[in-house]
Amino acid sequence: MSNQTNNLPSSPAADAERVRTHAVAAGRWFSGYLAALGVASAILIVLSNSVFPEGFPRSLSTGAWAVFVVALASWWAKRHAVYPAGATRSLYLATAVWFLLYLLLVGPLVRWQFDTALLPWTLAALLLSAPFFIAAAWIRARR
Amino acid sequence: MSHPRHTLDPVIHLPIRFSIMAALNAVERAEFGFIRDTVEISDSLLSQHITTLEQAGYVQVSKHQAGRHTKTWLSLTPEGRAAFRRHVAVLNQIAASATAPA
Repeated sequence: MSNQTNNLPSSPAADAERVRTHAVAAGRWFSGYLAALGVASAILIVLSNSVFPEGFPRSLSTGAWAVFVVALASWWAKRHAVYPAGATRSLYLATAVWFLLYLLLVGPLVRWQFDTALLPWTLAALLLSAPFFIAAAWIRARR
Repeated sequence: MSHPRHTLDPVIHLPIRFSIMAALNAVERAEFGFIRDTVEISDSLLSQHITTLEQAGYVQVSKHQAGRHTKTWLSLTPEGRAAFRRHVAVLNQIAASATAPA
Protein backbone atom coordinates (compact mmCIF):
# COMPACT_ATOMS: atom_id res chain seq x y z
CA MET A 1 0.00 0.00 0.00
CA SER A 2 2.84 2.36 0.78
CA ASN A 3 4.21 4.77 -1.81
CA GLN A 4 1.49 3.83 -4.24
CA THR A 5 0.89 7.46 -5.17
CA ASN A 6 4.58 8.14 -5.80
CA ASN A 7 4.56 7.71 -9.57
CA LEU A 8 1.80 10.21 -10.14
CA PRO A 9 3.14 13.47 -11.52
CA SER A 10 0.43 16.00 -10.71
CA SER A 11 -0.07 18.30 -7.74
CA PRO A 12 -3.07 16.38 -6.27
CA ALA A 13 -0.84 13.31 -6.23
CA ALA A 14 1.90 15.23 -4.44
CA ASP A 15 -0.65 16.45 -1.89
CA ALA A 16 -2.00 12.92 -1.49
CA GLU A 17 1.52 11.68 -0.83
CA ARG A 18 2.04 14.46 1.73
CA VAL A 19 -1.15 13.58 3.65
CA ARG A 20 -0.33 9.87 3.44
CA THR A 21 3.14 10.40 4.92
CA HIS A 22 1.70 12.66 7.63
CA ALA A 23 -0.97 10.07 8.52
CA VAL A 24 1.57 7.25 8.73
CA ALA A 25 3.84 9.36 10.96
CA ALA A 26 0.90 10.22 13.25
CA GLY A 27 0.26 6.52 13.83
CA ARG A 28 3.77 5.71 15.05
CA TRP A 29 2.73 6.20 18.69
CA PHE A 30 1.09 2.79 18.58
CA SER A 31 4.46 1.03 18.41
CA GLY A 32 5.32 2.65 21.78
CA TYR A 33 2.03 1.38 23.18
CA LEU A 34 2.78 -2.17 22.02
CA ALA A 35 6.30 -2.01 23.49
CA ALA A 36 4.91 -0.74 26.82
CA LEU A 37 2.41 -3.58 26.76
CA GLY A 38 5.26 -6.03 26.21
CA VAL A 39 7.19 -4.67 29.19
CA ALA A 40 4.06 -4.67 31.41
CA SER A 41 3.26 -8.25 30.39
CA ALA A 42 6.81 -9.38 31.16
CA ILE A 43 6.59 -7.75 34.60
CA LEU A 44 3.25 -9.50 35.21
CA ILE A 45 4.71 -12.91 34.33
CA VAL A 46 7.70 -12.42 36.67
CA LEU A 47 5.55 -11.06 39.53
CA SER A 48 2.81 -13.68 39.34
CA ASN A 49 5.08 -16.69 38.82
CA SER A 50 8.25 -15.91 40.73
CA VAL A 51 7.94 -12.98 43.13
CA PHE A 52 4.33 -13.63 44.25
CA PRO A 53 3.66 -17.17 43.00
CA GLU A 54 0.54 -17.71 45.10
CA GLY A 55 -2.16 -16.15 47.23
CA PHE A 56 -3.52 -12.63 47.32
CA PRO A 57 -0.37 -10.81 46.06
CA ARG A 58 -0.54 -12.90 42.87
CA SER A 59 -4.14 -11.86 42.25
CA LEU A 60 -3.22 -8.29 43.14
CA SER A 61 -0.40 -8.18 40.59
CA THR A 62 -2.72 -9.58 37.90
CA GLY A 63 -5.37 -6.99 38.79
CA ALA A 64 -2.79 -4.18 38.75
CA TRP A 65 -1.61 -5.34 35.32
CA ALA A 66 -5.17 -5.34 33.97
CA VAL A 67 -5.81 -1.85 35.36
CA PHE A 68 -2.50 -0.63 33.91
CA VAL A 69 -3.24 -2.06 30.46
CA VAL A 70 -6.74 -0.57 30.30
CA ALA A 71 -5.63 2.80 31.75
CA LEU A 72 -2.67 2.99 29.37
CA ALA A 73 -4.89 2.16 26.40
CA SER A 74 -7.51 4.79 27.21
CA TRP A 75 -4.99 7.47 28.28
CA TRP A 76 -2.81 7.02 25.22
CA ALA A 77 -5.71 6.63 22.81
CA LYS A 78 -7.27 9.89 24.08
CA ARG A 79 -4.12 11.77 23.10
CA HIS A 80 -3.80 10.43 19.59
CA ALA A 81 -5.96 10.89 16.55
CA VAL A 82 -4.66 8.10 14.34
CA TYR A 83 -4.51 4.33 14.61
CA PRO A 84 -1.96 2.96 12.15
CA ALA A 85 -2.86 0.35 9.56
CA GLY A 86 -2.96 -3.09 11.17
CA ALA A 87 -3.12 -1.70 14.74
CA THR A 88 -6.02 -3.81 16.01
CA ARG A 89 -4.88 -6.95 14.21
CA SER A 90 -1.29 -6.69 15.51
CA LEU A 91 -2.51 -6.03 19.07
CA TYR A 92 -4.89 -9.01 19.08
CA LEU A 93 -2.36 -11.29 17.41
CA ALA A 94 0.47 -10.37 19.81
CA THR A 95 -1.83 -10.79 22.84
CA ALA A 96 -3.12 -14.16 21.62
CA VAL A 97 0.39 -15.50 20.92
CA TRP A 98 1.64 -14.21 24.31
CA PHE A 99 -1.27 -15.75 26.20
CA LEU A 100 -1.28 -19.10 24.39
CA LEU A 101 2.50 -19.51 24.65
CA TYR A 102 2.30 -18.80 28.38
CA LEU A 103 -0.68 -21.08 28.93
CA LEU A 104 0.32 -24.06 26.81
CA LEU A 105 4.10 -24.10 26.40
CA VAL A 106 6.45 -21.72 28.17
CA GLY A 107 4.47 -21.44 31.44
CA PRO A 108 4.16 -25.21 32.15
CA LEU A 109 7.72 -25.87 30.93
CA VAL A 110 9.41 -23.25 33.11
CA ARG A 111 7.26 -24.16 36.13
CA TRP A 112 8.13 -27.82 35.71
CA GLN A 113 11.88 -27.26 35.25
CA PHE A 114 12.56 -24.25 37.48
CA ASP A 115 9.55 -23.88 39.78
CA THR A 116 9.58 -20.21 40.90
CA ALA A 117 13.22 -19.31 40.20
CA LEU A 118 13.55 -15.64 39.29
CA LEU A 119 16.09 -15.76 36.45
CA PRO A 120 14.36 -18.43 34.32
CA TRP A 121 11.02 -16.65 34.73
CA THR A 122 12.58 -13.31 33.78
CA LEU A 123 14.07 -14.82 30.61
CA ALA A 124 10.81 -16.63 29.84
CA ALA A 125 8.82 -13.41 30.38
CA LEU A 126 11.06 -11.53 27.94
CA LEU A 127 10.69 -14.33 25.41
CA LEU A 128 6.93 -14.35 25.87
CA SER A 129 6.78 -10.59 25.27
CA ALA A 130 8.59 -10.94 21.94
CA PRO A 131 5.31 -10.83 19.94
CA PHE A 132 4.60 -7.34 21.35
CA PHE A 133 8.10 -6.12 20.49
CA ILE A 134 7.93 -7.66 17.01
CA ALA A 135 4.52 -6.05 16.42
CA ALA A 136 5.90 -2.71 17.67
CA ALA A 137 8.85 -2.93 15.28
CA TRP A 138 6.52 -3.88 12.41
CA ILE A 139 4.26 -0.88 13.02
CA ARG A 140 7.28 1.44 13.32
CA ALA A 141 8.86 0.14 10.13
CA ARG A 142 5.76 0.80 7.99
CA ARG A 143 6.12 3.63 5.54
CA MET B 1 -14.14 3.68 -24.45
CA SER B 2 -10.70 2.07 -24.26
CA HIS B 3 -8.81 4.97 -22.69
CA PRO B 4 -8.07 4.24 -19.03
CA ARG B 5 -9.60 7.57 -17.93
CA HIS B 6 -13.04 6.03 -18.44
CA THR B 7 -12.34 3.70 -15.54
CA LEU B 8 -11.37 6.48 -13.13
CA ASP B 9 -13.66 6.58 -10.11
CA PRO B 10 -15.62 9.87 -10.25
CA VAL B 11 -16.24 9.76 -6.49
CA ILE B 12 -12.53 9.70 -5.68
CA HIS B 13 -11.26 11.82 -8.55
CA LEU B 14 -11.90 15.20 -6.94
CA PRO B 15 -8.51 16.32 -5.47
CA ILE B 16 -9.89 16.87 -1.94
CA ARG B 17 -11.54 13.45 -1.85
CA PHE B 18 -8.43 11.90 -3.33
CA SER B 19 -6.38 13.38 -0.47
CA ILE B 20 -8.93 12.24 2.13
CA MET B 21 -8.82 8.73 0.69
CA ALA B 22 -5.00 8.77 0.56
CA ALA B 23 -4.80 9.76 4.23
CA LEU B 24 -7.34 7.16 5.33
CA ASN B 25 -5.79 4.46 3.16
CA ALA B 26 -2.55 4.82 5.12
CA VAL B 27 -4.16 4.18 8.51
CA GLU B 28 -6.65 1.93 10.25
CA ARG B 29 -8.73 4.88 11.39
CA ALA B 30 -8.24 8.57 11.98
CA GLU B 31 -10.07 11.20 13.95
CA PHE B 32 -12.21 13.72 12.03
CA GLY B 33 -10.13 16.68 13.24
CA PHE B 34 -6.89 15.07 12.17
CA ILE B 35 -8.12 14.57 8.59
CA ARG B 36 -9.54 18.12 8.55
CA ASP B 37 -6.17 19.60 9.61
CA THR B 38 -4.09 17.31 7.41
CA VAL B 39 -6.12 17.94 4.25
CA GLU B 40 -6.44 21.62 5.25
CA ILE B 41 -10.17 22.09 4.80
CA SER B 42 -13.02 23.29 6.99
CA ASP B 43 -15.27 21.13 9.18
CA SER B 44 -18.27 21.65 6.94
CA LEU B 45 -16.42 20.89 3.71
CA LEU B 46 -14.94 17.72 5.18
CA SER B 47 -18.41 16.69 6.40
CA GLN B 48 -19.81 17.11 2.89
CA HIS B 49 -17.07 15.02 1.31
CA ILE B 50 -17.26 12.37 4.01
CA THR B 51 -21.02 12.10 3.45
CA THR B 52 -20.41 11.54 -0.27
CA LEU B 53 -17.73 8.93 0.41
CA GLU B 54 -19.92 7.28 3.04
CA GLN B 55 -22.85 7.10 0.62
CA ALA B 56 -20.55 5.48 -1.96
CA GLY B 57 -19.68 2.86 0.67
CA TYR B 58 -16.01 3.91 0.80
CA VAL B 59 -15.82 5.45 4.26
CA GLN B 60 -17.18 4.34 7.60
CA VAL B 61 -17.95 6.90 10.30
CA SER B 62 -18.13 5.92 13.96
CA LYS B 63 -18.59 8.04 17.05
CA HIS B 64 -17.03 7.19 20.42
CA GLN B 65 -17.40 8.88 23.77
CA ALA B 66 -14.03 10.11 25.09
CA GLY B 67 -14.64 11.66 28.51
CA ARG B 68 -17.08 14.53 28.02
CA HIS B 69 -16.39 14.76 24.30
CA THR B 70 -17.50 12.64 21.40
CA LYS B 71 -14.79 11.68 18.95
CA THR B 72 -15.67 10.98 15.34
CA TRP B 73 -13.48 8.33 13.75
CA LEU B 74 -13.16 7.82 10.02
CA SER B 75 -11.94 4.69 8.30
CA LEU B 76 -11.98 3.23 4.82
CA THR B 77 -14.19 0.23 4.16
CA PRO B 78 -12.66 -2.73 2.25
CA GLU B 79 -14.57 -1.44 -0.82
CA GLY B 80 -13.03 2.00 -0.28
CA ARG B 81 -9.50 0.58 -0.10
CA ALA B 82 -10.07 -1.48 -3.24
CA ALA B 83 -11.56 1.51 -5.08
CA PHE B 84 -8.63 3.73 -4.07
CA ARG B 85 -6.10 1.12 -5.19
CA ARG B 86 -7.90 0.78 -8.54
CA HIS B 87 -8.07 4.53 -9.00
CA VAL B 88 -4.36 5.00 -8.27
CA ALA B 89 -3.48 2.15 -10.63
CA VAL B 90 -5.46 3.83 -13.43
CA LEU B 91 -3.82 7.21 -12.74
CA ASN B 92 -0.40 5.57 -12.79
CA GLN B 93 -1.32 3.86 -16.07
CA ILE B 94 -2.30 7.20 -17.63
CA ALA B 95 0.84 8.88 -16.29
CA ALA B 96 3.02 6.07 -17.61
CA SER B 97 1.49 6.26 -21.09
CA ALA B 98 1.85 10.05 -21.10
CA THR B 99 5.54 9.94 -20.22
CA ALA B 100 6.42 6.96 -22.41
CA PRO B 101 8.64 7.79 -25.43
CA ALA B 102 6.67 8.14 -28.67
